[in-house]
Amino acid sequence: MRVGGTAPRAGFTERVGKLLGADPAVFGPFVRAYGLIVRRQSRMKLLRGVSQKAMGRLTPFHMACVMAAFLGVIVVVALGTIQPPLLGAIAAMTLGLLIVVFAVLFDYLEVLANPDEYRVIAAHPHDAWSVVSAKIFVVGRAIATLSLCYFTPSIVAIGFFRHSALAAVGFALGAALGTFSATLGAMLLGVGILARWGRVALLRVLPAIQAIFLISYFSISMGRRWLVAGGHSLGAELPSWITFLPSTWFLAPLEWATGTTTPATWLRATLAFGTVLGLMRVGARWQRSGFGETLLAVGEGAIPAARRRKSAATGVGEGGRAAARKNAKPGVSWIRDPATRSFLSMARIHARADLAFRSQMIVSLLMPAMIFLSPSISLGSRRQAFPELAFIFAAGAVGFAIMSLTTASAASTRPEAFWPVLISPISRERYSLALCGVLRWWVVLPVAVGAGAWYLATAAAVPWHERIARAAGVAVYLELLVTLMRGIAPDPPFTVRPSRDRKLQWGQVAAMLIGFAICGGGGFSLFLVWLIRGWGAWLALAVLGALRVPLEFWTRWRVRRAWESLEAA
Amino acid sequence: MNPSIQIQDLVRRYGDVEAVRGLSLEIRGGEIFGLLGPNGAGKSTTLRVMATLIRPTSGSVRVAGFDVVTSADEVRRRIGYVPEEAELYDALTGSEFLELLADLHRLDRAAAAAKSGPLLDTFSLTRDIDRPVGDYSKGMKQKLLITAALQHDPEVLLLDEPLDGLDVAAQETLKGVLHAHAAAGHVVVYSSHILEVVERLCDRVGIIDRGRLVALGAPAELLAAHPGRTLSALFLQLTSAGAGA
Repeated sequence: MRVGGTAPRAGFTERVGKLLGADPAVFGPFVRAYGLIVRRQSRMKLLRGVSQKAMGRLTPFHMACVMAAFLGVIVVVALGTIQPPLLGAIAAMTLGLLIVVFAVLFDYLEVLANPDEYRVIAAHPHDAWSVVSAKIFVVGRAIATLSLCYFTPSIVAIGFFRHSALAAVGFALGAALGTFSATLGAMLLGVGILARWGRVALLRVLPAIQAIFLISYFSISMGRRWLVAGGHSLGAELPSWITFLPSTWFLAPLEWATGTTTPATWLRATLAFGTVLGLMRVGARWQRSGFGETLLAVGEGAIPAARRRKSAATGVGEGGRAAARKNAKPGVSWIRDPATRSFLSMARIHARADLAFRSQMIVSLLMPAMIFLSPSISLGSRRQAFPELAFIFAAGAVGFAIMSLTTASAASTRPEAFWPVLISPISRERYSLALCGVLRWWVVLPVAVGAGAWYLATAAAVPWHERIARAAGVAVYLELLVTLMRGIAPDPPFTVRPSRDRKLQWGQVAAMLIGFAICGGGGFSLFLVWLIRGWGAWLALAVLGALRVPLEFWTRWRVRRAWESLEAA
Repeated sequence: MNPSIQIQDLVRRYGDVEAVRGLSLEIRGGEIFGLLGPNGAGKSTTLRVMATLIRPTSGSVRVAGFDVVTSADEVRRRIGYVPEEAELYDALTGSEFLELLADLHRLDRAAAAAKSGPLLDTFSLTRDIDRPVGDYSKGMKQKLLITAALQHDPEVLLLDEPLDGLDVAAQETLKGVLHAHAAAGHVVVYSSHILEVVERLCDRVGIIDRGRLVALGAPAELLAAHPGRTLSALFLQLTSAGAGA
């Protein structure tokens, strides 16, 4: 053990602590501890499931820096190609500030405000401000590092290739101010919600922020194309509404440095400095009003621990039980099945209380929309075979949703709370297959009916019977995909911790190969349905439907195997 | 000898709920004091006030001669606290967690290691001390918390249901550690609802029911005052836990 190891290095950290008015004897140890926590934890999506062994000596924080730098390099392409040049800089700044907000709220908020922390340290000598200062210092340092990784490629590109060294300094200054504001703003927002309304409120807000992040990300990547498709003419001038985008406020130094100022530049600069000063004022006022104590004791509200404790370790209290009772009302026979009801209850509980699950849901629903929207708008603007291709894109988008919803449904941040289902007498196979029912009735059916009806009405050039065969072909294909994905990812719903280090096993590889073969067969049949003219399309559709039978057997076998593995583990 | 813990008319409310109602108690140095009571009686709340986690609504509590409200930091230097639920920083290893708390107590690293090392050995935790705490079982977390609470040799040791999650061997080890700690002149306050353990371990017990102290004394004295009764029967007679029995 290292208990008797060397004491933490003083020096710089101690000086920062004194500067912040903290007690070095408290500030130092917490900077060290929080530094370790920040290095080791990262919720950044792409890092989930990457094993420590695979990462070697790289910590999750190092990986986050690499990712930030990678995104920074990608953004350089936008800087070099998007016209007018300021629009490229806006894209770079917007994405950078979104990354900062995202990192503060998703990766570091548990360092800033951990509701369980007070019970760990309250009985030990400390003063609240020193602990909070250590949090702010460590998180600020991590964000500054991430920001540097992301913005450096843009600064270099602006300085050496796009504009001048002065312009690079202007952009760097704006990026620094923007990072500071975004960090402080996100800290105050997250901590404010947590302190005022509690953890549950925060967990409800975070997925919405994630949705905004995703929408913004796609808007940035597709923005120019959408603007053009919408009939906007992009000359040297930017549309006036762009001033409402906060990231543009911090580009005023770049505008000055490149000599492209307009009257709006002054307004944006004023807004930037106003934001910085306003946030600093709020922060200072919070600090003077005993904010440190509030932040540390954020989980110690007026409610006794016994009442705050949540039921069945799922994070849901009375509301969840009430919802479960409500769910017990009889409905259509499929929903009346106890296994389906258990699945729906678990889904509802996780949708209310499990941040990881909610995040996955947001991604699963937003990504297909983006997949569908981007090329459709683009094609729509050019009037190129729109009904045909939009219908295919819709099918692709729903297929993506089916795949990602199936994978997401296995995840739970607290799989240990699954035991009530394990000891209940419900059919385990039906519990797992309940997901297929949900996807069939609530995803495939509405899309197949809606998109199919639209296709039938608009694809006037295609004979009626072929139109029907194609619409039916897509519906059958999506239904096959539902069954197939359940077989490929057969883990019982809500039993897998997202970050768990899982090794790929030969069985999984074989399952994926079989899955791809069946998927390929289905896709080929769909292709035939689409291409074969005349009544042959119906024959291809029949082949597609026939695949359903072996697929169902295979999926059920996979589900049973998954349960056996879970019980043997 | 001055009492190490003095509680005078302690009241603690959570909103409309009055968890502790006018509790008064004195605990002397060198004794192991058992705080008994049914679920929701106010044991944990009383311990949390003593540990400076929460402030009293009214009344006063002095621990090791210092007021828990006006001299909270002085109290914190002199106590060790094991909470009912094992809350730890999951991303830190066991040794890093111990180091953090040792630093907060301004302990010399070598002195901290000299104290915690044997405890870790006793609890068979030495081998796992460099693993992240998030990978620990409930029992291992509890052992780490007990070690952390003892490594600065506190004058007052506050334990809230400390046997939860511990195996039999660790339970026996802990009892020995607590006896040794009290024998050194320190105070051990032990909250539990396991009567047999309290009866065998504690010098005196206080039975709390609905936030009030309903009995106080050595287990033998309490039993002598109610002849023919076991501690369990006495507990049920005195508390609301026996109302439905």
